[in-house]
Amino acid sequence: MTKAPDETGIAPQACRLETGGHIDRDRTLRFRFDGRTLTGHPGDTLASALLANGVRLVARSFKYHTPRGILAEGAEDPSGLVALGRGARHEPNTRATMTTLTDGLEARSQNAWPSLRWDAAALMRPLSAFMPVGFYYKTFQWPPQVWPLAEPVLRRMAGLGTSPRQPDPDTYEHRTAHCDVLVVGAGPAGLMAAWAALAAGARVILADERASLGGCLLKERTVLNDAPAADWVQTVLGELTSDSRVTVLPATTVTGQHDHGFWLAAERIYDRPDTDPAAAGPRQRLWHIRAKQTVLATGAIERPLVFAGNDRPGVMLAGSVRAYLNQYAVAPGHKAVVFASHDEGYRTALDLVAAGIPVAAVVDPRADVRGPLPDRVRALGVPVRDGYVIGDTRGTASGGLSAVSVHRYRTGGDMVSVGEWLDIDLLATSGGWNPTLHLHAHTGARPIWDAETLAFQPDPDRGPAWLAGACGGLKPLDAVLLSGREAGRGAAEAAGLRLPEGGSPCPTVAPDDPAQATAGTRRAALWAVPKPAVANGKRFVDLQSDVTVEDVALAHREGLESVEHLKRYTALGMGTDQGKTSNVTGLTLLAAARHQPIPEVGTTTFRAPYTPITLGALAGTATGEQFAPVRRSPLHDVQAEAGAVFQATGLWLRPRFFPRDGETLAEAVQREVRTTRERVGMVDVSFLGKIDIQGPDAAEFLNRVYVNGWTGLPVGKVRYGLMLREDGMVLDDGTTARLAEDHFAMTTTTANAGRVMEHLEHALQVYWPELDVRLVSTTDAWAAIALAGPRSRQLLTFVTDLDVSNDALPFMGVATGDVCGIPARVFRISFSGELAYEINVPAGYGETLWRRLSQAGSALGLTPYGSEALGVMRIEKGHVAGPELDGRTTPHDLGLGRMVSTKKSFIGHRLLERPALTDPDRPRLVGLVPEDGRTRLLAGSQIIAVEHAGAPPPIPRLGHISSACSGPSVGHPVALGFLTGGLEQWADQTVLVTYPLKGTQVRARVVPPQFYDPEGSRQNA
Amino acid sequence: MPKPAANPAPLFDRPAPVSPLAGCAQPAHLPDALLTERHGLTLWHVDAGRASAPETLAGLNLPRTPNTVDAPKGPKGPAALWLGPGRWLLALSASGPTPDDAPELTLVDQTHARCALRLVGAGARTELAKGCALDLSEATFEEDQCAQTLLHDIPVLLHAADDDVIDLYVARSFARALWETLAHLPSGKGVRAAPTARTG
Repeated sequence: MTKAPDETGIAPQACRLETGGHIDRDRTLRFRFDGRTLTGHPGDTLASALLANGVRLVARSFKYHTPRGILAEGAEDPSGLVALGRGARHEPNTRATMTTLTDGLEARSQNAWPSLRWDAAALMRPLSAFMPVGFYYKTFQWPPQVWPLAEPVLRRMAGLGTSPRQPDPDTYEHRTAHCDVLVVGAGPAGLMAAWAALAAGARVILADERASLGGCLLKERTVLNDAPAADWVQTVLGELTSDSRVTVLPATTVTGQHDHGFWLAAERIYDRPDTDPAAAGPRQRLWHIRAKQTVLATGAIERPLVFAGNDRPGVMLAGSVRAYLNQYAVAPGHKAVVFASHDEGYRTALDLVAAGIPVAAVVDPRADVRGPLPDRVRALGVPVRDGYVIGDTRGTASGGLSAVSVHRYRTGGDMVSVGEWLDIDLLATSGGWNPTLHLHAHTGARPIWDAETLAFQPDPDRGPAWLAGACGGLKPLDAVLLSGREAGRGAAEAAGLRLPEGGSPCPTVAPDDPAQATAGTRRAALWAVPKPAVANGKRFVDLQSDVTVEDVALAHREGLESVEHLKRYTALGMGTDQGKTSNVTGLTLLAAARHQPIPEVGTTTFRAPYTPITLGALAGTATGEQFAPVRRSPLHDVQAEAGAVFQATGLWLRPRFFPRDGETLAEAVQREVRTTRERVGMVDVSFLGKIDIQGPDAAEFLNRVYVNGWTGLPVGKVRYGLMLREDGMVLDDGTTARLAEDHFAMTTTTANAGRVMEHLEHALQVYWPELDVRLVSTTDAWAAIALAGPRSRQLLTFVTDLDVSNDALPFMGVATGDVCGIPARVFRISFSGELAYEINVPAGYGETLWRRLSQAGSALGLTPYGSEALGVMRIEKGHVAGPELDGRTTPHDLGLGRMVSTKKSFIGHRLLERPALTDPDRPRLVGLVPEDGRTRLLAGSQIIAVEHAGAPPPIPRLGHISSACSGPSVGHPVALGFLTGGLEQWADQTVLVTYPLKGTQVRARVVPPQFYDPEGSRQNA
Repeated sequence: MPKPAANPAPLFDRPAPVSPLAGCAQPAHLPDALLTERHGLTLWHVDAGRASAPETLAGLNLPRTPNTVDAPKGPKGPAALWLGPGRWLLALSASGPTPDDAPELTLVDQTHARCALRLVGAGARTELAKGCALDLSEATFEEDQCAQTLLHDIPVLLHAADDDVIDLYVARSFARALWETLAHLPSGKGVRAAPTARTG
């Protein structure tokens, strides 16, 4: 099969068969592997194209750095892991078998240095006897100084691929889909199920992880309705894709079953044959599928046999060898031996012979094998060595397998006798099939062991699960097709659809098709072939995690008897393949070591995802600025114009400060506070939650949700209110204005707006349905600007005809009228402690209000200020806010106990009376100032007694600092905090404020928590 | 203290409202759909509490069937959308009739609180399926059905005004974020998972 390079200098595909395969030979795709330019065809995977070019060595193993090749053909392949792409598009640990070959594809081997052929770390192999399972833990734990030094070296050697360092340049998206019937797997059973469900009128989603749909019908030489099976596949796919009720998703892995018919599926759009990767669009799509019913037609995964040297490139699964021959027209070797413990091996021998590849022997551990397939193989003159096993292999790093040794087999022996070497380069091996039950088991189904088929079968106790084809148990092809049809019809009927009489007929399978012959034949339970006295290789159970038969035995001897412990200790079944080819063998070996039957040992837990999902698909479009939705004030743009620096506060973007001429944050805040205190400032308070409350019972309703009384509030007045949770802790605070007898406008804190709305709705709907009250959130309806400072009245007078004098609009009053030509509500309330007005206008006019106020206020020295200055002023004034309303404080803790009405009941009333909540020793709000008058106190600091300065921990804690600022208006730093016993115990005493993370301790004096204008003369002016 | 010259309050004219989407290029071209902002609407939150609401208001039937809409003139006309028992949103033409203040009804003007968007085209429902968990296919989200749901994690009220016309009502503060997400405006493609420092 050796061919000369063509005129381009690129070597021809030396191992491509002359005919056959579902590939487009008219088009040639170029790709690179480790810098070599190679070619393939549309329809190839990266794995099939590498094999077509005679590339057998594709990777080095995880732990021992032994040469590895392609073992399998699908998602189960443990060893053919490569890195794709470059730079930001570098993607490690990609399975070559699942990568659709595209023009320009760039792939590189992993885990090898300086090259795949000459890997320095492979020199460690002679030391492997000293690297048993768990050797990291055993070797480098003592003395303790060694581990930090050893860990980086070990991680570097044992790592699997490297992650890219640049942001991912591709886009991803999510998609929700609802259907009557989801069919997972588009092999013979899945296609029949989807077709039958459609015939019943169902909305169907058909998803398959492979880019080419058809499953085993493409991989085998099957004849349906007297024509190649691929023809039938195309016919059915044509029926499905032409109907708008069906969504066909190739290259889409259903990765997990979740509760209540919810499934996640990852679609690799660039891997779809019809996709042009150059065209703009998302690279992958994560489907959120809600299915009324689901048919699993996920097939089965072949199990390799375990023998010494079973990891060499050239050792492949027997079914995968057939797939490479038939679907991809690739000869995986020049001369083969088949080694299988059941009749499927003979099927591979027939296909190899048909492809012109000599078969040196079929080696079968069963003695005296007879049957239609063995007889057909014998008739072709292929030697059948029944009662024999493969005991060892030989080969080279670059060339892979070169010979195998054949030994007579006796069950129960510890060692095999001297064998006979056969020079071959391909060993097709099969130890049986495991139904692919991962999705079935994700929601708690427990597959049960079947000693006859030597495999786990579906949990019979799991509700209406439709398992069609091989995943529901191995059967002849005609039964597979029928089971698909039955499942599709059953699922459609369960989804509430009426079944048609006919439609979706099963195709006819030729009676002599090997797919009809193997099911139900005798199988040998050969889990690990005994070693010869001297072996060239290890007996690997898990090829990805480099776990051997001896490792499983050692783990058991060390007491790790649970299959879950075995997994964690040895890494068996971990990694990107999650043990698809190794788990069952591993647990049977563990069962043998424990001298217990397999069901006693059980399986490890099946968890989603079935195969790895890239992080980009999980994130979808929610990245960067769109990681979470952002809320913007109606004044956002105009404040940005004014130079605001924004800060994310919850979902809101809030202006933090307005720096001028290169000011720092501290300088800008200082100036904003000073200007407001001396002249006038304005701040955006649109973020506050607003709730419109109307109805004849509105005042009574407020009486029941706030701790203080509301029925006596006159129209045109505002009151500060405090509401509690049911447990007596403060939920929220804010001001509420009475606009009419039956109409109130409530404000909440920004953070709790949604929560308070829910709380009120809940109270109305559940506790007091008899109250006639209507609520609606108006947070977004209003733009709100607070004008604060001694000149605020003067400025307001300038822009409104309203009488805003202290007589007409006193502190805690509300008026309505035009401000700057805009209909407005004006509230005389103050958070800063200054004379202040809060102006609310319909949100669309907010920007104009801001511009007109700015213009009119410039002569008065108006400054905009941000949340930092707002925070400074409220701390100076001693107003509580989020850091004080932290869910652990009562009104009494906050010094607001006098607000709590004794004349009525309200939410939280009863539980507020619990002794612990009225204990005078509870931490209560105090003010603190540093004794030296200079040192800043830090929010989050702990408060301790002075005599505990320098004491070793644990130190009794007296309280903590909740808010702190530099106190520009009072001339020294100030802080609010909570102190056990409060002012009554601590007034004018000195405590220590410590911040252990920074190692600071500051002596501070305890004072009342109002630092600025405690009499309130400024706000009442 | 400096003093303003004279009281100019009467000089201020009534301004035009500013859209939260001012500055966004309109319409936005989505795959097989156009996204536009609707202007000239007044929006009223209607709440009858536990009283019996009138059959009609502002010329529209107040639908009693949950998640349905009365829009007798189709996508071009006014609509009454069911929000909850005894609660509706009226989307009226600013130049048309306004709801009468009935004694049993509470009417709250939400014109400035919501932004009305319209998605038109064969791909409209697919675009919504990229960020909404509901089944919005034509079979299940029929003409003149409405739904209060999350779209790209943003609360929205959807109205199937027609097979290919979906109206979206979104809180003003979220409008720009929703617009940018729906319009796939560039903002940090892909995942930023790149380590900033050397990792072991």
